[in-house]
Amino acid sequence: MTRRRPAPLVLAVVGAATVLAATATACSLREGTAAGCEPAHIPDHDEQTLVVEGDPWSGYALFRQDGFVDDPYDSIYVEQLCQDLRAADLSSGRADIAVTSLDQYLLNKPDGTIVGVIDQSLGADALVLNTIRYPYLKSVDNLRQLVSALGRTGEKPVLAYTGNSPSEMLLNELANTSDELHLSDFELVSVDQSATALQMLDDGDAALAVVWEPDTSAARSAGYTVALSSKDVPDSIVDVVVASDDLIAEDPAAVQAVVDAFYRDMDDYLAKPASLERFIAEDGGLEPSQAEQLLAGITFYGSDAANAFMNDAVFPLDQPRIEQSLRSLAAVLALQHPEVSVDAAKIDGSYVQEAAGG
Amino acid sequence: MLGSVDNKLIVGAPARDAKRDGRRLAWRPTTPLVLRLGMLLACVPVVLVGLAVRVAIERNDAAIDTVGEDATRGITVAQEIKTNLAELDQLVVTGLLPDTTSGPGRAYAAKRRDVMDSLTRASAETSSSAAYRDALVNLDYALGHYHSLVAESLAAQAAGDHTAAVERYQQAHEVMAATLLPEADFVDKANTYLLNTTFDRHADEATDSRRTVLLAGIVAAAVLVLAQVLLVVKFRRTVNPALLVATLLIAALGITVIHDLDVSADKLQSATDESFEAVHALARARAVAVSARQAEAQWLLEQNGDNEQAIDGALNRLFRVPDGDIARAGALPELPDDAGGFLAAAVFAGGNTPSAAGRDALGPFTRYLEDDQALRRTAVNQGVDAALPQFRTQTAYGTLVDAIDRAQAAEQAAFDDSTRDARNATDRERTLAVAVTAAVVLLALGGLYARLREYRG
Repeated sequence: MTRRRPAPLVLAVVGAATVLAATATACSLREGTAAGCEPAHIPDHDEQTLVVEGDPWSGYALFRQDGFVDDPYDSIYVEQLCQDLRAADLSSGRADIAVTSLDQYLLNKPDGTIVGVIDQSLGADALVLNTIRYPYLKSVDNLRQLVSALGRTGEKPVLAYTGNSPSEMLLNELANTSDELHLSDFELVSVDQSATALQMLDDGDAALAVVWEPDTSAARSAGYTVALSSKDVPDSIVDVVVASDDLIAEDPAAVQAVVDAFYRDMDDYLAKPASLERFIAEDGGLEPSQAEQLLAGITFYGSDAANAFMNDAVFPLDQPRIEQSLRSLAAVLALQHPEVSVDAAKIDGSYVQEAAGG
Repeated sequence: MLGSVDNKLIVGAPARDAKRDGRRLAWRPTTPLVLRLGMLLACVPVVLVGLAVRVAIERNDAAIDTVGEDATRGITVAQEIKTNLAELDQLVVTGLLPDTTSGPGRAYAAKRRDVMDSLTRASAETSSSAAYRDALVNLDYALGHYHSLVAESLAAQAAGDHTAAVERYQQAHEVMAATLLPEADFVDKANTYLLNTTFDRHADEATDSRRTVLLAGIVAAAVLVLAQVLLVVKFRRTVNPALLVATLLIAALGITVIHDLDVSADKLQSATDESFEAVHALARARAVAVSARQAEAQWLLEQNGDNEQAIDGALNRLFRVPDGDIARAGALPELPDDAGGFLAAAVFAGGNTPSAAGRDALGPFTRYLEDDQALRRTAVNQGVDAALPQFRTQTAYGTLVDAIDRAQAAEQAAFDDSTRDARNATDRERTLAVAVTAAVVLLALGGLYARLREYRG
């Protein structure tokens, strides 16, 4: 007795089912990959405790200190790596304060107002060229050589960057200011973090990578070329404090307490740079040298500088720098996300003004 | 003769027998019905081929319109703004030089109108998205400050207060260099982004369109072949000539359309990658050349490190090589791979065939460089008064600007030719698709109808 061969129709049905199953599995895997984007666990807390959401970035270290805010308030720091959920938590009232970057504020549009400026990257984030694999790649002027060399074999050079992060913003800003960097010349590969982008350089899988400290210094030490950095596009990567509109309406004193606490501590640290370096090293589990490199590429804002950044109109556009920065970022983001608009952005410099004693 | 006896038996007597036997007989279509269904089924894929061709051509034309006209016009207008702004600044500083007998006056007013015209055109022709709007709003706003500072500078000059005039001009120039020119650059970048994304989308859509036309053509040809086979098997006839011609026509239409879409895509690619990239680089070079001349005049007005750096910066943006030996690099038969700047970009834009027009601008550039060095030497060794006549009479700058303009015009003409060729490549397709689709439908119907008539007979 022979086994009956499956009829073509049966084969087709089985094939289609397999394709559907594979597609469903792929979808669930993608969702699974985004599992990190689940809502953050927020511990039980009383009404006077403010929930601050952010990520492990060293610039947010002050918000993670015990007893950060003065009585009668208290604060807890909750890590939410996903910017869209951080914004959603602020809008829904799960979080009272979010620390984020200006570009992510524009992209995710939380129901919140920018009430303070924390820091900005001035060299910490950088575009690195794989000089080890391509020895002639010593400046952006050599990118054309690279593009045409790989183009002969129908390839595009790989540029690795961390998607949905300051690296992506930096990349867009650099493409809009540099005469030599044309993103359409590259195969853009979005990775999960800066270390992965650096690893791709090490493995020879990428010709360029956008990294942040301490990877920027590590790349430089390894012999790669740091061609461009956030120093070339000032006011592009700016971290800010965003207070939820509900909190501002219901308890503006709480917002003031957070802003006061932040600038009081920051002013202290800026007056004693060595203690700031120690604090950043302890917070991030970094070596002192790494903390030093990190701080070399970042400008932290004390109360006076923050007050100027948020409230002083700057000639010739006669707008505060934060507003100019927001508008410029919105313009760059609108190229890829036409729905981005600066009109919905809210800035209130009065809290910083108060903190600066103005 | 037709095997029709069997067919009649199927629809006639067996049905009655089945009724008599009380058994239910499975319905089977009659031959005329099969033929009529065949006529209908043969027409559907053929019409689909016609539709696929039409959609492909419309997509292709839309991409040519956006890439060839809308986005490139946006870039051209942005460059016009930039050049006009740089020329405005140059007029003012040249008018402030000590040997000037009268201020920029009318020329300034005329150039100011040019700037406004280009801004108006840019706002009329670009999208209302924040990406374009904000840069234009900032330009409009900061331009007010620039004009008022220039007015103060000219008033001080007229009152004989040269120091105040220079001071005010420095402030005006700061507005120009730090705000107006970068904002104009952003308008350019935004339109370049539009050009690149539209081109990439077009490339994807063009691939989809070709695939759709190919698939529809294969299905239509397969249906016609199947009809042919069924006729041969069922009616034991030789090949049906009408169906054969219809099959060949549909295959020819598919091949022609795919080929012409390929040609059109290639033409558009070469227009964008080569000619327009050169036009773009040359337009930017033009604005930077004006800035270099402005920086020279400003340095003559006030010799300091910043002003000297501004000259070097502008010259570097025009052309540079790592070893700094620009004259040697410019004279080499082939530019070194690591040459940078807009003039090098214009030359390299041609890919495997470097742009000859771009190359022609390099000679005047090296002469301008010599003039610049001579001017600076005279100013340092003999003083500004001795250098001023030299500045006024040097011709290399004018020659350079003319060469860039000529090169830009030549590349623009090449770009226009390529986009026209891209459009012409698919010009006949609309008519061809309608005519061939109609002919194939008629042939298919005719071929099957002939069998139908034979069967009835």
